[in-house]
Parts: sequence; structure tokens; C-alpha cells
Amino acid sequence: MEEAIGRKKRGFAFNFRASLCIPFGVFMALFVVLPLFIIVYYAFRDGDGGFTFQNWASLFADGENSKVNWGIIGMTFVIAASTTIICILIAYPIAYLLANKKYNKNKVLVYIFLLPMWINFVIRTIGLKELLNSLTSVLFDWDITSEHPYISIVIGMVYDYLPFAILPLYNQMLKLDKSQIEAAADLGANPAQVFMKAIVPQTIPGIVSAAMMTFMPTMSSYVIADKMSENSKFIIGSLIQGYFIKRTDDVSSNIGSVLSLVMLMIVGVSMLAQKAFDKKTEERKGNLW
Amino acid sequence: MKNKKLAWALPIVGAALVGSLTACGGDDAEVVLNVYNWEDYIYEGVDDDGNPIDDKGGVLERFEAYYEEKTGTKVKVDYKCFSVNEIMYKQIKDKTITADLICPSDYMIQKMANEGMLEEFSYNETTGKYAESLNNWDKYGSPYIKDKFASEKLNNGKSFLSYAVPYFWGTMGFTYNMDKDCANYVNSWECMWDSAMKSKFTLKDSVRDSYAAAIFHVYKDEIAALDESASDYNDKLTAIFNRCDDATISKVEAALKEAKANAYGFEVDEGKDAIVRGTYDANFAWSGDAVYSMEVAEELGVTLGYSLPEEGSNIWFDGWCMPKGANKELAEEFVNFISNPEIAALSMDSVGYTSSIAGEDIWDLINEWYSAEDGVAADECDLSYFFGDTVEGKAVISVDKEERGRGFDAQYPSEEQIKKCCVMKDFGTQTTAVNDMWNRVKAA
Repeated sequence: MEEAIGRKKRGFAFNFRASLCIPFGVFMALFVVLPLFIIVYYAFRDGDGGFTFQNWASLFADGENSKVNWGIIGMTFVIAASTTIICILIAYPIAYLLANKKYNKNKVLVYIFLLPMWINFVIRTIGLKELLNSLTSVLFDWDITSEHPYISIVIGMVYDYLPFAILPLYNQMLKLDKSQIEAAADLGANPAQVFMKAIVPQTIPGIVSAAMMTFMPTMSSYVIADKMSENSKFIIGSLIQGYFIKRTDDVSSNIGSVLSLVMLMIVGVSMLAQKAFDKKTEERKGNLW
Repeated sequence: MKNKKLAWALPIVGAALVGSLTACGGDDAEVVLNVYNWEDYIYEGVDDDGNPIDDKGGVLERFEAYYEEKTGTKVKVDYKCFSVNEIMYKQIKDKTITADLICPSDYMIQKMANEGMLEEFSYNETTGKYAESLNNWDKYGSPYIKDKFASEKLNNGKSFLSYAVPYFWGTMGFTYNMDKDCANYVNSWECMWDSAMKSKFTLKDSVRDSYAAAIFHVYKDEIAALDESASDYNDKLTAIFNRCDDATISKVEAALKEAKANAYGFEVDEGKDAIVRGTYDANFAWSGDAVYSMEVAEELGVTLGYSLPEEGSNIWFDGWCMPKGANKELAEEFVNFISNPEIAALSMDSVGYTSSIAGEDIWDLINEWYSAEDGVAADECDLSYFFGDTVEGKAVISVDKEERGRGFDAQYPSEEQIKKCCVMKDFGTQTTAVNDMWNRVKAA
């Protein structure tokens, strides 16, 4: 203890454990912070490198174009939100069963649900697409990816991100306070009341993080949407990709940067919402006890 | 103390690792030629399983051996690949890739040359000939391609040949299942708007190509009214083909939205395999991809054909260009080497696209592929427009009647069809308007 204080006074002390963070710090600086600055820089430059707000204006205050862009952003939001809701609805009972030792001896079931994540998601998506199409063409004589692209995008997203929803819920369920559930039942609550009043409140942090884990990647992914809609539907990710690699107009990278920032903001806002929510539930818990 | 030592060792080990990695880069080559080409676009000297075919290696190894023998200088070809013109353009423009040779398509050559991004080849505009260093192209280049490239002018009045040496070329049409109903429709671009083709064909997920197809629909009456026998027929058709004024863009937008509602979806490279599997019956395709699909399908017992729509189509070229700052002498040497018909035939044989080079070796290759056996009903096909006097006698080949409308016709359209094929121009100042239109179509 004394030695530590002494070191502090000298102003510099080599700390081995802290030094292990250096690679992480360098990595973050090079591949997260620096690119972010580059994106911000590009978002406010014109074709010749001068400062401008024109990129933002051309996207969001340009009649026909901005209508299309807002439409794409809105549609992406709808797809991400419905994916999130469906994922949680499916994942919740699964996580409950997985967390119950009666059904999930040796955790084999958990591995079965996580197994698909060992395979690259593009390959899984293409596999799903072929499977769904052969199914619907036998049943209805049409291919779902071509006939109902939005539905098939959501199915693809749910399929790919379901494990991300199961895992946080499962972790939360493991911590369920059984005595509280039993007490509720003993005190005369019917099963529906037990579920709503004793189980759900305990799992809210799990629900929130499951929502984040599915909402954020669905908001920014585009490969699944491209594959599951035969490239016929645009979501914000495909729009950005198009600006960066398919267009050669002078300011296409700049407009792509603006769109990237907008997407980042949407994700950022939803993370802030999660933080606020977390705090609220903690406070409530505090009050309760 | 022990920990501390270890900690200091970490960066040292790291630095040593990085050092050894970079040290690997050097070898005894005296000059390096940086080539930036399309994927799967050259003979690499290996078969489908990746085993070497002979000890001479691919085109690159052969060039290295040839150059060392000729000049005594050891050269190393640093070969990289791209898959989209636009990405390549940005990389060269931002200098994130340095290359001595690139292989863009026609409209991109035009754009890059007009923007002053390209070095000139040793080409004489008045005689229409390259210098001695590129004499293989002068000797063996197809007279048809030569004319086409010489007559395409850039903003500075010079021809394409000053900035690009043609490599492969082809057309745009439909790969289709010959046993399906669609065979009755794909001879016209109108099939994309025909309810009989609902969900049976794909559009190209590339604005330039789908735009061109829509033009044939939007201006079908005007195109039908053109006099095909007039000498300026192709010029007039090309002018319509490349229209991109605001009124045209909005007509094309409406047409593409309609076609999208009728189509199975968009694709850009998965289609050439999906058509074989039977996901759809017709695939809007480039001729080289069509040849690939037909070959794969044949092994599976599926009969695919290639249709070049009767209204006309696009004829495209990819050419070798030198970005500013390229090693001109070395680059010309390489282009001359691959313009040798013997080498061109190797690449054409393995790639499936049609070489811009004519000459005996290429002629032998297509005879080996398509010449009908004795005794079967065959059509006499005249390819003298393409081969000119680079082969002995008249370039006429007899092709099995059953095989018409397939590989041969995809690789070598008839002179009649060629008259209706137009070269794409860069959209110029309308680029943004067209791209925004494409966003609206994709978002619809």
C-alpha cells in the first residue's frame, strides 16, 4: 500500500495489468475512433474538399430524393422493430425453458440453439432463402423472396438474430428468484398473474438487452435484406453501400458518410434509451427492497 | 520484476514480427508491373481444381519469362483484381491502389480519359496504328473492334485507341431455358414488361445495364421507325441508346418500376448460377456469363440459350488502360504480349468471353468449339467482319443448326445483329440524376 502511494507521487508508474490494455486502446483508436472522424470529416465536405452543409441538405431537404431517403430509413426502422419484437416473443419462452433444469439437462439445448452461430451468417441466409423458396413454391407456386420480399426479409432477420435475443434472456432467467414465483402462486395468483407480476418484472433487464442485441444489427445490416429480397428492397445499409461503392458522382462518398452518421445516431439514441431504462429499473428495484 | 521484463518484451516481439512480415516482400525482381484486372479474366495456368496444367504457368508467369529473355531484366507482375468498375475508379482516383495497367469498361474508359486520369499509348491518330512496341495489336486486333474504337471520340478529339487497347468484348441479352415458355418472348426487350413473363426473369442490379434495356422499351416506336439500311443507322440508334435528359430519365424510371414489379428480382452475379438451377427461366445477362451458364447447364442436362433482342442491344468492351504515372514501357510490353493470338487464345479458352484479338489461333479455337461434324444440318456463318484478313481465306464456319442461338451466337453475333448494337457512353453531368433515379427504383 505504501509503495503504491509512493509510486503515485512520482507521477509515472508502470502498471503491467494496465499495459495489457494498450493493444485494445490502439485497436480502438485506429479502427473505431479514427474512421469515425473520417466519416464526420467527409460528411461536411464537398467534392473539392471545402466545408459545406450541402450533403445533409441534398439528402433531407431535396423534395423527391429526401422523400425516398426518409422512406428507406422509415422502412428500415419498421423492419428492425418488427424483427426485434418477433425475436423477443419467440426467444422469451425458449429462454425460460432453457433456464429450467428440468428441460435442459447438461445445457445441451443451449448449445443446440447457439450452434447455428458457428456458421457464417451469409451462408445461413442463402440456405434459408433456398429452403423457404422451395417450401413456398411447393405450397403456393411462388417464391417468397420474389413475391413477398418484406416478409421474407423479416423472416431472414429473425432467423439470423434469434440467438442474440435468446442469450441475454437466458442469462436473466437463470437468475430468476424462484421463491418469489412460488410465493405469488401460494398467495393465490393464477398462472397468468404469476407470469405478469412475478416473472416478467424480474426479466426486464434481459428483455431490454435482448431488444438492443437484435435492434442494432438489424438496423445496420444489409446483406440479409439483399439476399432475402432478391436485391429488390433497399434498407439504409444498402443505400449507404450503394453511395460508397456503386456511385461515382463527386459527392457520393460524402453523402454516404452523412447516411452513416444518421444510422449511427439512430443506434446511439436507442442505446441512450436503453441506459435510461436500465437506470429506471434499478431505481425501482431499490425502492422495492 | 519478472512481469516488468515480460511487458517490455511484448512490443519488441511485436516489432520483430512486423519486421519479418515486411521483409518477406522483397525478392530479386528488378522491376514490378502492377496489373489491376477483373476477377477471372485471364489464363492462370491451372485447371478447375487448381492444379497446374503445364510447367509454363499462366499468362503472368509466361510474361515474366518472356520479358527476362527479351530484355535481360527480371520483372515481377503484381496482379490484383476488382469486381466493379466504380470501385476501381475510386481506388485509382484516391490513389489507394497504384497500377500500371487497369482494365475498365468502355464508359469508364471514357470517363477516366476525359477526367485526365489516363496515360496515352504510343498510338498515331493519323495513321491509326500503334508504335512498334504494340505491333501485335496492329497485326492481330479484329478490324471490327479497331474501327469501333477508332471512331469513338473523347472530349479532346482523340479516339479510344489512344487510351485503351481492347481486351474482351461482348453483348447484353437474355440467357434463357430453351424448353420453357419464355423462349417465345426473350427475342425482344418487351418481355420484361409482358405479364406472361411475370416473376420469370431478373433485372441487372446495375444502373447502367438496366437503364439501357429500359431505353429500348421507352423509345420502341422511334427505334422501330429508324431506317435499318441507312449508313448512319447505328449512329442514330446509339444516340437514342445514350439519351439521358431529364424527360428520358423520368420515362425510364416509370418503365423500370413497372419492370421491377414484373421481375423476379435483381441480381448481378448470382444469376448465372441460379438460371442453371431453374430459379427463373430467363436471366438478363452479359454474353460471357451466358457462355458460362450454358456450359454448366449442359453438364446437368439443362438446355440454355442466349438471345440478343431484335431491337438491338449494348455492345461492350473492356480495354487495357494506363493510369497516370504508369510505367509506360513495361505496360505496353505486357499489353503487346497478351495481344499475341496464341496468348489471347489461352485466356479466351479459360475465361469464356470473346477476345478482341483475331488471327489463326483464335480462329482454330472457335472451329474446335463450334465447327459442325460432317453430315449434320449446319448453317454457314460468316465472321469475316470480325476476322478480316487476319486468317487465311474467308472466315466462314459451319455451325450445327441445333446449336444456333447458343454458345457460338453468344460469342460471335452476326454482322446483322452487330449493326444494332450500341456502345455505352458515360452519363456525364447527368450521373447524379440517373443514380438518384436508380435509388427511387430500388426503393419502390
